[in-house]
Amino acid sequence: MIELFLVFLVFGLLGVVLVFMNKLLGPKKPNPIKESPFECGSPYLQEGINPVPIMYYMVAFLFLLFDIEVVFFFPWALVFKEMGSTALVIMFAYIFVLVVGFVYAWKKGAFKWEL
Amino acid sequence: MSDIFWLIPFVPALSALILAVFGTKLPKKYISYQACGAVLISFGISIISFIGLLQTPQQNYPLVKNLFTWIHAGLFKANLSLQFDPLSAVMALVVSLVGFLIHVYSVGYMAEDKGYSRYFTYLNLFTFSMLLLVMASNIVLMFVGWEGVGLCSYLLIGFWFEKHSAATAGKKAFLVNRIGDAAFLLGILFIFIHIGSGEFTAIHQAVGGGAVTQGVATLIAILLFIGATGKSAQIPLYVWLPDAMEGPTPVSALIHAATMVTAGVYMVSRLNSLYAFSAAAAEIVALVGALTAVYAATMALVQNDIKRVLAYSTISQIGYMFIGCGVGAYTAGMFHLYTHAFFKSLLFLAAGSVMHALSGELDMKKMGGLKKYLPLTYPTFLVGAIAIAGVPFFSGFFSKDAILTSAFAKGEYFIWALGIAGAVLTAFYIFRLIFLTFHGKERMKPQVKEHIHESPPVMTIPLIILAFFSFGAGYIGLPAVLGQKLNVFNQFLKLGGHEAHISMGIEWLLILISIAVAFTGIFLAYMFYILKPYVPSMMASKYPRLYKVLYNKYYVDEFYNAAFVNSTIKGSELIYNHFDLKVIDGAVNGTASSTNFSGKILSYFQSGLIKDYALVFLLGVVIFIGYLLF
Amino acid sequence: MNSFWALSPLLLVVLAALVVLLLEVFLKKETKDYLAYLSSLFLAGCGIILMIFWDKNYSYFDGNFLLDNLALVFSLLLTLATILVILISIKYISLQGANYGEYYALLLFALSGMLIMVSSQSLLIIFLGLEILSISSYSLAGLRRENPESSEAAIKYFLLGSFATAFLVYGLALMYGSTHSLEISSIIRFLTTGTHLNLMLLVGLGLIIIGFAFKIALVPFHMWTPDVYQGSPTPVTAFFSVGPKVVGFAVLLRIFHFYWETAFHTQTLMTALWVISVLTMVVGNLIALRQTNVKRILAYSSIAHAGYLLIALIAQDPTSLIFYLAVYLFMNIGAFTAVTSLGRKGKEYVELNDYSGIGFKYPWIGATFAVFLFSLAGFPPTGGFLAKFFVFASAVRKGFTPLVIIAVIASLISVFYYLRIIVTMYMKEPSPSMQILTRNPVLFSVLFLCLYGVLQLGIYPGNVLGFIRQAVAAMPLL
Repeated sequence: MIELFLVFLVFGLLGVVLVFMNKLLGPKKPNPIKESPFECGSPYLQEGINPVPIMYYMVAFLFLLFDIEVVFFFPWALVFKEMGSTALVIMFAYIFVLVVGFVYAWKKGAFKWEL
Repeated sequence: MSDIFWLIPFVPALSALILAVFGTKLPKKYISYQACGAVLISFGISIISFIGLLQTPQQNYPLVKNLFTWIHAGLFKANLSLQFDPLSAVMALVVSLVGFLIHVYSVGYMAEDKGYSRYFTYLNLFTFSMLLLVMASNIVLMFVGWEGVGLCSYLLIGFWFEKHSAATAGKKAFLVNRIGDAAFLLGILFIFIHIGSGEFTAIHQAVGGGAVTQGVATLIAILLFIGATGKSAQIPLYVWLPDAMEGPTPVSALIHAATMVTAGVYMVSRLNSLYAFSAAAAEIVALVGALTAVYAATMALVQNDIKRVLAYSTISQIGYMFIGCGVGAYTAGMFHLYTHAFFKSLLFLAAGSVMHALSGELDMKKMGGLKKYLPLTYPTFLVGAIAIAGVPFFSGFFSKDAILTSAFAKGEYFIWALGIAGAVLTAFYIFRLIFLTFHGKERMKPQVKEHIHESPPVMTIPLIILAFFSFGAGYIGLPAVLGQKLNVFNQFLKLGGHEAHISMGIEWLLILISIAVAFTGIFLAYMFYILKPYVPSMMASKYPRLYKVLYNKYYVDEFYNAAFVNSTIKGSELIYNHFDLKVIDGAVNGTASSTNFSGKILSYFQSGLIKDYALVFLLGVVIFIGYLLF
Repeated sequence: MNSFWALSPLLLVVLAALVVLLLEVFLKKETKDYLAYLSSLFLAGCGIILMIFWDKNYSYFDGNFLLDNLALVFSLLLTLATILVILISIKYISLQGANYGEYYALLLFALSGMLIMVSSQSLLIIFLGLEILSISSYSLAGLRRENPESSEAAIKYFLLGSFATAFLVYGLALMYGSTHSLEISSIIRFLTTGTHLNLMLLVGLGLIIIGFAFKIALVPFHMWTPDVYQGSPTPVTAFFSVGPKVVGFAVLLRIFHFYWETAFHTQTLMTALWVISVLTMVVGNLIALRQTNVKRILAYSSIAHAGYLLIALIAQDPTSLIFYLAVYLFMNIGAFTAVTSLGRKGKEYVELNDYSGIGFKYPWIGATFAVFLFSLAGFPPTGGFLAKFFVFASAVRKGFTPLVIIAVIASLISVFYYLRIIVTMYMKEPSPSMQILTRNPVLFSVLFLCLYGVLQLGIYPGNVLGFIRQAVAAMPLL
């Protein structure tokens, strides 16, 4: 066990030391091009990524959310018989919360593609 | 009804709080009504409680009201509890009555001051602290009041803090009192160590039941008495009181004459069983009191500042009270406290009225012949002077006589003789004051003279009321020769201590001596300052050294400055230069800079970059878990 | 007692959140203030229910959700803190233009997460509550969307928070692996019967502690605190400095409570915590010395206070821990309220220089702020003094004298930077440009409520201590 820890310790510390050594010893001659995220020695011509419409993300989010929430229906369906009416009440409560979220998203204009 | 007494201190406290918060926004008229009204309510409650107390059977004394347990840490327990018994009742009545009159007087005196609301805030706060002091049922709470009045005193002495001398005087009072308070605090600590409780009843029981040895009792009593010499301006800690006259005159009357400075006398009376148990401590109290009584009176002889004369007179009169306490006649001491509160505040307020008339003039050499200009101030001043001089049928006579008789009866002839000597001086200096101020040639500057005017009714009415009390207050404590039953005060207070009795003949003789002494003093003053006004200056030039010594107050201030203040400053400079600068500062600066430096190093890690944060986090995890594993 | 009522305070808070969320989209912008009052009303109801449930011990979900007195005390503290934060937010969000209705809903969701955490008997449910709290917190931190600092705070909090959560989950897994349960009661049963020191268990425990140490900002898991506190909207900062801290210590108390009682109670973990506590106090106070941003000073101060709180945990004294948390709630929210009151349209005054002469210019705010700072520094007669006193006293009694000595030195250092604010407020000339717009009665009442709390707990702590003692006495096993 101790050997194992020593190994972790030595290599962990080594990593830290190397990070700092770089900082301490490395020559630093920054210029704007070097500072840019994708440095390759020549000035870049355009932004790396073309903007994607923000609504795209919004819809993706909402889809993911409601999709995941619907997944919870499957285990519910499995135990529905044993639980009886309680299950129904619980599911209604669950759906109620979902509906509130849905109404909220709707009123906030999350479904309008054009802003 | 008798359990409402706990409200007495809190009414002024509430008023002080309101004034402190809203004071600057309120109209002056409202401030005056509220500040005076609060103290008047306190006085009313005091009377009601006093009547309730009379109706309570004596075995139920003292009435105690525990508001809540304030501190409870192991052995050390202090309740916020107030008590009401005859002693507290007398003090509460005196404080609230005199306090009320002085509040009213201040309305006129301070009318033009820009710190009006601040003044009344302090004054109400003082009343609260003083009432707390006299009604506390344990010594810790009493100490709170003790410090509270000290604080207010400091604030009010330095009330006109733009004036350098006022600020310095405040500082001086504070520092001198601090010496006494340190001893007082030590005394409290010893009480807790040896008795285990600060409740007065517990202390009385412990002392009465023999739970403490004579030595311990003496130690505690002396430590507490040192505290009292600070607060009550006795030898050797009296030096602050004359300077304290830098404060507004009503403040001098209330704090530095009638109430706060007598706190030491109250304390000794409150712990009378302790002082009765320790003969040595009682002897010291009596001796210090007697010496102070004469010593301060000699200094009062030659002062020209009207308020300073009264200040030394106060020191001297408190000395008398301590004689009473020291010879075991606590009632007599308290009686003198009670009468003194009236006539001394009267004298101060009347002096304030004189100053008011003369646009703030304090020097008696620039007064004279004021009798006809101040038709109300003069007679009231005269009543006060007669009372303090010990002329028969006035209050001061009865109380001073009670003290001296007790001293004689106890066999303390030396102390009695000192007291008699002091009495001659007292009568002399107070009538010197009267003659210089109100009689003789008019020595004012012409431009001052034009403006001389009697004070407004708001100032003179308190004077008249106080004059009435200065005359009549003594009749509740008539001497024993007129019949034991007549001394209502004595029977009501019933403080411990054995008052030795002497035969009627001797007592009559003592009374006659007192009377003779008083008149001698007055006559001498009359001779010196009216009949042969050239005598004093002639004497002064004939005995220049004596005069100078007296005028310069025995050079005590200079001595203290040279012996303590300067040596302290020198010593501290020495320490500062050699030890402080090099060792302590070195260490502190070293600590500060190393603290700062480590702060700098540590903030280096706070780079703002999430990767660094995560790295630190991860290192923490590795070390923590690694430690747990091995 | 098994009863559905156990869920009622929690459901009320969730219901409030949903109602507020729905109303928000239907209401006009000017009327959104009402949402704050509505939320406070709901929370007040929740608080009343919590008080009614005193001594009732309702539980649900097979005892996994238990409203014992301890949970009630913590729930009450958290509800109170949330009400105060909501009240001080009203003016803030209108002045700083962050008038988003979801703000209140997010606060309420965060509260519901915290309520779940303090009343759960199962580590899994506690984790669930923690996630609800965390996700709401991330959004709250970034609420001032157009302010880059705020976004920075949100992203930092989110990334580091997820990082910490990973460790927590790993710890839970190890715990489950070694004891076959995540229910605290069955873990206790397992531990009291087992006798050998299980490394897996110990590491699991350590990782769980790390997870919560992140939330309560113990060094070295504190790095997020200053940046997040500085960037978040000030009321939210007040919330972060109190809510997660209370809840983190509540959970640690429950975990440690069984740890103290079992055969596994070794010195190892205690020593590690000892070191962490010292580090937290020293580092928090030292870095605070160099700060010039008041919010950042308070952030480091809150780190330092976590260190003092940890002492109570080490000394195994739940009473003084809870008392300290109660005092901390009042003085810290009070301090942040004072900071909040010093703002005007679109501008917050958070640099130390802005505070020059505040004491004279705005005497009420200055004076109360000074009292809170004195309390944080631990001067009598404020609550801060008594809280520290109780914690240190019980630590000395348990024999942790060196720790207490370090703590006292650390609090001495802290006096410097607290006093520095007071000195700036009272001894420097006010700057004429500094101007706050309106006097807000709601802010003032919160300020005075906190003042009252600080002084009441400092001068007459008897009845509050009585409640806390009752709650602690009802803890099983102790």
